[in-house]
Amino acid sequence: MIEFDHISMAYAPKAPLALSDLSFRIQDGEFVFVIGQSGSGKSTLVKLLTCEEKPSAGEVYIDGLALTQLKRRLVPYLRRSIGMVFQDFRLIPTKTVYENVAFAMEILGASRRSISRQVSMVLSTVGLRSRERALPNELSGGEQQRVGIARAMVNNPSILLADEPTGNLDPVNSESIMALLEEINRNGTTVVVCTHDREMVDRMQKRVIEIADGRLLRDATRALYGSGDKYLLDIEPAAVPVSEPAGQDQATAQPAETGQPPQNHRDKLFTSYDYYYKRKSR
Amino acid sequence: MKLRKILTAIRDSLLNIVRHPLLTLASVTTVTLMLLLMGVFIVVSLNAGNLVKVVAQQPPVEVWCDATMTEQQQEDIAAYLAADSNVLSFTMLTPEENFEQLKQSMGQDQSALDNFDYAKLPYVYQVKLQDPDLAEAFVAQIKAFPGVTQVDMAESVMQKLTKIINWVNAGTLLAFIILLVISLFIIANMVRLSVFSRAEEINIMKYVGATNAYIRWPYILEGTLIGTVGALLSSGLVYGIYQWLYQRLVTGQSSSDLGVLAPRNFVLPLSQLAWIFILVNLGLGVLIGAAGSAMSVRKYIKV
Ligand SMILES: Nc1ncnc2c1ncn2[C@@H]1O[C@H](COP(=O)(O)OP(=O)(O)O)[C@@H](O)[C@H]1O
Ligand SMILES: [Mg+2]
Repeated sequence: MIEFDHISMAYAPKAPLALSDLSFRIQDGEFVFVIGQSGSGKSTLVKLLTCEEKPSAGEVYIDGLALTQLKRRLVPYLRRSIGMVFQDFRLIPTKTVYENVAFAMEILGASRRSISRQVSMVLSTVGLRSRERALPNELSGGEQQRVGIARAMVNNPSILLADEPTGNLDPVNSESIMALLEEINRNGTTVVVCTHDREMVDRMQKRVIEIADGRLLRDATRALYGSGDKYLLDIEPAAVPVSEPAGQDQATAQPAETGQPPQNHRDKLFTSYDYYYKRKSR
Repeated sequence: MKLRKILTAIRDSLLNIVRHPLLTLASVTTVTLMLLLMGVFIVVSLNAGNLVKVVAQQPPVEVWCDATMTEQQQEDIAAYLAADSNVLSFTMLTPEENFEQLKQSMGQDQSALDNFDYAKLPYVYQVKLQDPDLAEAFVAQIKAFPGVTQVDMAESVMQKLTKIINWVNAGTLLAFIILLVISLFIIANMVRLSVFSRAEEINIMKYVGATNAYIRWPYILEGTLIGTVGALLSSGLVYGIYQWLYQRLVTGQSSSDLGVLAPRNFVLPLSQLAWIFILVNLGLGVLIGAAGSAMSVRKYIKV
């Protein structure tokens, strides 16, 4: 579970607040859009989750873990449980598609064989198995973003954070990327997508957290982008998520082609992370 | 798992090096030159130290005594010399022996000495001192003995040498510090450029959950490797230059009117000091490489 508890955040002591008194909860397995105009604070929200920035006030929790209390050297272990997808894809231009994905596993010290197995699986999930040896600049934008998603998913994170994942893509590519994210969510991963892509939000009809000037404007399930009540399908508070949270049982059911018990992998990551965390804080 | 990470780090550091051949070349050259200078200083310092030792022992302090001195006086002086810890060894030349030496030194002209009364020649103690710094004190002491008429020593030479040695040592230390700082700076800059050129990649690594150590190690290895290569190159250069000089100065030289100062008397053979400068160079190279890159990497790579 992700929880923002009265978060305020300023980039400098005297700078205006990028986020102010923001509170919400995201349950495991939810699919959530965070929307708002450019400069409203979406990316700041993401940076707080990855511990790139610290809040000025309030606390962010991931699975009950207070992030401001997290020791710096444990931050990497937290990040291993979060997959990141960026607007500009952030692929390494000198590495092939395969290498771009594999290196996220190398960092964890995975064996060559498990890397090869897992990378192939993730690449077939995103439909790029045949482009393994291509370099990023030989791919279309949509394909590059698929590689980005494959890299984010290769270590089976429990949360996928996407900051404007379709910002650089045409509508057709955007749609297929969103379909991919939805599929990932269906397999149990919590997906948080920051965007100002109105059409997409309207089409997907997922929970929407809207922020404006760093404040929570609305938090509605199965919502449309536009503000104003007439656009809302449903404005019941989202404390109990409606967007079919994939429970524990569903989470175990990973896509057939990956053929791997993801629960184990995920648990393992968390266990190692917990292990470091507990050992450190003792 | 550990081993795999180490191998990955080594592979990445080699990739870094290959990726910036010019940068690497510049760094290796600087480190090599710096360590070469360092090696020269070390070698000069070692030889100078040896020179002092040789000089201190070679031209003995000559204590001249009255030819008419009593046996008691002789014994007193002998006892004193035997007891002084600064005296390495001493011999006494009787007037007869002095006469023989004199005769030999005159060669063909020795007939001139046929009627020479050697009894007029002094007794001479030739004393070898351990520490040239204490020579003056020794001279003052021995002069006080009755029967001693004159004390000769290569005073000025030794003092000058001692001074020179001190300067050489101070110079070595100063050069060491300056060169160390310069090399650290160069390596740190090289690694900084290397880090900057891969900033995007490092950023991605952080997002995927790489630890600081994982990202930093290849750079530290890169620096260490460059330091090591520099050390080996400079050691080879010092070795070659020294061998060449040694052959010219020591083996090749036949006539010498330099006395003790003749190179063959004090220049150390390569076998005696090769391991010292190779070890020092390697140690310094590794230290500079590792510390230089660590400085940069700590500053520019933070999770
Ligand atoms: N690194 C930064 N330093 C200072 N201010 C920043 C920084 N990043 C973002 N901001 C400010 O914080 C506010 C929120 O920015 P951001 O979270 O990037 O918005 P969004 O992602 O919704 O476009 C903006 O006013 C922006 O100018
Ligand atoms: Mg943004």
